[in-house]
Amino acid sequence: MTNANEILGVPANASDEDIRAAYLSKVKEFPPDRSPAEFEKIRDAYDTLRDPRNRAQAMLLSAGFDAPLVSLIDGHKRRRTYAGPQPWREVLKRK
Amino acid sequence: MSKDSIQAVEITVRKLIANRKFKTALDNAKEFHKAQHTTASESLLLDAYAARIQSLVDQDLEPEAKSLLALVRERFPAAKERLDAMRSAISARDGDLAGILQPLNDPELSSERRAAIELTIQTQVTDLASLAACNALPLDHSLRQAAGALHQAFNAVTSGPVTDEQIALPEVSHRSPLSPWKLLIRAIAHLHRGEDQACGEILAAIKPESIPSRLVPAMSAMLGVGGIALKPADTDLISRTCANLQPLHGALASLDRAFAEDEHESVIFKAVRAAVQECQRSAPELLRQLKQLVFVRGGVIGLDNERLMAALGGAPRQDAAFFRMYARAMETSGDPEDLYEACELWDAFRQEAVKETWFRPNGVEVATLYLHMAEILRRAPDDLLTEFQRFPKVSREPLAKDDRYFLFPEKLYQRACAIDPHREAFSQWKQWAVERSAKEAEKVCREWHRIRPDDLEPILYLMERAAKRNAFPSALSYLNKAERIDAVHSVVRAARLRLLAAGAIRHLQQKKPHLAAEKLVMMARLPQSQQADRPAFLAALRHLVFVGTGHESVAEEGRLEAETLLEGSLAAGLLISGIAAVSKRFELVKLSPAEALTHQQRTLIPKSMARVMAIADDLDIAKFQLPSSYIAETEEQFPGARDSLDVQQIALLGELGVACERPKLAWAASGAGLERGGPTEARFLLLRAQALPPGHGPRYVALAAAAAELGRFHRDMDVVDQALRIARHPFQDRPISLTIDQAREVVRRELASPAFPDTRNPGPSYSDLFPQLLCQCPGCRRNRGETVGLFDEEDEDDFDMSDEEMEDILDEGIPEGMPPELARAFLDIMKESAITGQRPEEIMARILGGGPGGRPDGGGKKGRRK
Repeated sequence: MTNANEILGVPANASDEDIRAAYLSKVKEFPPDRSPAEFEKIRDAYDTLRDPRNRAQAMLLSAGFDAPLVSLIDGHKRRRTYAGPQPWREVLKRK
Repeated sequence: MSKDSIQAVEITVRKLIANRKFKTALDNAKEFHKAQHTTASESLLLDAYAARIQSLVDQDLEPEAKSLLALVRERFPAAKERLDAMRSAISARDGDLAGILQPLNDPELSSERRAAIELTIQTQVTDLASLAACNALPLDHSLRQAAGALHQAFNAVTSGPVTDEQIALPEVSHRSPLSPWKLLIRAIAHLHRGEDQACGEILAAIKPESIPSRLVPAMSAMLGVGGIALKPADTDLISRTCANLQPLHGALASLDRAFAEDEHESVIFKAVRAAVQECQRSAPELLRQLKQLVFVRGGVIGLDNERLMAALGGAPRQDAAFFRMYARAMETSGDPEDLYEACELWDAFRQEAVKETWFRPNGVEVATLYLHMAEILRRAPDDLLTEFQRFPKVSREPLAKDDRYFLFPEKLYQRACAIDPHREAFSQWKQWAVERSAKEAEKVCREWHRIRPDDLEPILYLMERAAKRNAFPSALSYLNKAERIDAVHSVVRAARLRLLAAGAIRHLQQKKPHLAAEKLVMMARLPQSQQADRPAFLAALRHLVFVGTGHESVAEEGRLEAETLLEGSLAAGLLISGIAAVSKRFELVKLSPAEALTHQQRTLIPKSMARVMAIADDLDIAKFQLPSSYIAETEEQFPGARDSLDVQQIALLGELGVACERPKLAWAASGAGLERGGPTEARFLLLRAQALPPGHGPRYVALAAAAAELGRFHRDMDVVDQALRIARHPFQDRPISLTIDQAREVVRRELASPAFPDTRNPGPSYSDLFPQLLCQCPGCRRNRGETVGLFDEEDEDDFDMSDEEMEDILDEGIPEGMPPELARAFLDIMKESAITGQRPEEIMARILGGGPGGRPDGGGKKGRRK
C-alpha cells in the first residue's frame, strides 16, 4: 500500500469511485479552512491516485521488501484464542 | 469542646478515610462520639464504620464485613435503611441475591427503592448464573430471563465463534440493569472477530460503575492500547487470550542481524529456521509473508536457494505480491546483472497479477509496468544488455526468444504504447531512442505521429531531423503541420526563420547564391526576422551572398549594416566569419587573427563573441564555428570583461568553454554567473560541474545535485533534466538529492572557492552532505578513523603515484604510436577510476560528453554470494 493509499485510507486495488468517496469523506473531516496542512496532504494523495497511470506506478513501487523483518509484527493484531469463560470471570470478580 | 475543635476532629477523621486509614479513622470517630454523643458525632462514626466495612469487602473479607455490619446495625437501629443497602450489596457480591431481589416482588415498591436495587445489581452482581437461578423472583421474571440469556451468551462468546443471532439478546432491554453485560458480550465477539474498532467503540459505551467495566482495561490492552495499569487477573486473561509475540520478535531481530551483518550462510539458515518455527507457533497468519520476505532477502544476497527453501520448510508462495517484492528488491540491489532478473520477475508478476485479477491483461497497469521495465533496462550498461539478450540466464524456466521480450527495451515501449498510446509513454520511448541513434528516434517519432497526429513533439523532432538532412521541403511540410496544431508555440514560431536560415546557408555552401538570395528575401518578409539581433544576421548573410555573386557594393552595404547593428566591426566580422565557416566558404571572408588586434580591440572580444554566439543560438545554426585564436583570447580577456557582460552572455561563453575544451573559461564563467545569483544560478552550477577536471567525483555529483534542486526551485526543467542525469546514482532508483538549503550551501562554498581546482587545491569537500559519496581510498578512510585492511594498503601503494613516476611511465611504457597526451589522459583516467571506483568508460563519458558521473562510492556490492 502506498503512502497516498494510506492517507486516503483506501486499499491498493480501490476503484475510481472508492477513491473519490474516500477523498470527499476526508475533506469533510479535514476541511481546507480548518486543517490546511492535512488538506494539502489529502489533495496530493488524491491527485496521485485519481490518475490511473500514477496509481499503477504507485502500486508497482509499493512493495515493502526492505523494512526490518521485526516490523512484520509491528501493529500486527496478536492472534486471539478462546480461553473459555473462567479467566474472564476472574477479572469480573476482582474489584 | 469548642466548635473549632469539633470541626478539627471531623476533618481529621474524613482525611483518614480519604487516605484509606479506615481503622484509625474508626477509632478516632469512636472516641469522638463517646465524648460528644451528638447526631453529628454519630453520623461521623457511621461514615467511619461504612468505610471500614467497604474496605473489608474490597479485601474479600465478606464474613468479617457482614459481622461488623450486623454489630453496627444492632447498635444504631436508626441507620437501618443505610446499613440495609450495604448489606444487600455485600450479599449480592457474595451470590446471596434473595435478600436484594425479594422486594422487587412488592407491587407497592417505591421507584427510589427499585432504582437502588437495580443499581446494586448493576454494580455488585458478578454471577449471572446465580441471578438467573434466584428463586426470590418468579421464573418468568424479566431479570431472571435476561440473566439466563446473558449467562449462556457469555459462555458461548468466550468459548468459540458466535453468530450475530447468538448475541442479539432481545431479552435484555437497554433499560435493564444488566444492559452493560449485553454490551460486554458484543465487545468480546468483535474482539475475537478482529473487529477492533467496533470492539473499542462498544467498550467506551459500557458504564464505568458497572461490573462489566472491570474487563475494559484488559480488553483495551488486547486492542493495543498502551499504558494501562493491569491487575494479575487481567494479565492472566490477556496471556490466555492473546498469543505472546515476544519470542517471535526476538527471532526476527536475530534474523535481521544475521542478514545485516552478512553472517555466514549457516548462521543465517539457523536464524531462518528459528524465526519460521516461532512464527508457526505464535503467528501462523504471518508465515506466508515471512517466508516470502526471507526468500527475497536471501535471493538478493545470493544465498543457496535449495538450502534456503529447506530452512524455510518449503518454497514461499509464488503469488503476485511475492514477484513484485522480489522484482523491486532485485532492481534496487545495486548489481547491474540483477536488473535483467528484475525484468524477468516483473514479467512473472504481470502474469500472476492478471491471474489474481489485480488488473486486466491489457490495462493501463500493464502499460505502466512495461514502461517501468524499459526504464530499468535503460539503467543497465549496454554491453551487459547485449550479452543478456544473446545469452539469457535461465533463472526460472527456459523461454522462447519471443517470450524474452522483457530484455528488449524497444519491445517493451512498443507494447506499452500499443496498450496505452499516451503522450508520456511515447515521449519516454523517444528519449530512449534518441540515446541510441537519430534514425531509431525518427522511427519512433514517425510511429508516434501516426498514432497521435496532433502531438507536437514528434513533428518538431521529425522537422529538425529533416532540416539536418537538408530535406527542406520535408522539414517545411512538418512545420506546416506544427503551425496548424499550435502556431504560437515558441519553437514553432522560431522554426520558419530557422529553416530558411539553414536553407540559405546550405545554398551558400552549394554555391547557389541566387537561391540563397531568394531565401534571404523570404526571411526578410517574416515579422520575427526584425526582432533582437536577427537583422544583423540577415545583413551578414546578404554580405556573403553578394560577395559570392560579385556584387561588391551590395555586399559592402550588408557588411556596414551588420557593423552598425552590432555596434562594431569586431562582432560583425566574427558573425560573417562564422556564417562563412558553417557554409564552408572560407574564401569569402578574411578575418585578422586575434593576436593582430590592438589591446583595446582584444578587450572587446568576449562581448563580441557572446553577441555573435547568441545569434547563432537563436537561429539554431549547427556547427557554428569561431576562430580558435579568438576563443583563446576570450579565455584570456574574460576576467576583465566579465562585468560588462549580461548573464545570458556569460552563460554562452561558459558553454563555449565546455564545447571547445576550455574548462578554465567555463569555470570562470560559472563563477561570474554564480556571483550574479538569481534564477540562473542552477544553470551556472551545472556548467561548473561540466567544467570540473577529472578526479573530483564527489564535488561533481554535489554540484549536479545542487543544480537539480535549484533548477526545480527556479522551474528550469532543462537544467533539472541534465543535472539529474549526472546526479543519478547508477544503482539506485532515485538520483542523489539535496534540500534547497543544502543546495544553497553548495553555492556558498563554491563562491568561497573561485580557483580552478587541481590536486593541491581540490576545493570544498561535500562529505557532510553526502556521506555515501565519501572517498573510499585508504588514505581518506584512515583519516576518517575507519579500519583499513591489508589489501587496501596495497591498493593505495599501487595508485599513490607521484607525478614523477607518471612521467617515467609515459617516457618508457607507452604503446608505440600513441600520442603522449592521450597516454597521459588514459593514465589520469585509470588513476581516478582506481581511487573513486568509477568505471573508466564512465569517467571518459563524463569528460567527453558530460555523461553520468558514475558510481562515486566504489565498486560492487560486498558479500555477494552468487
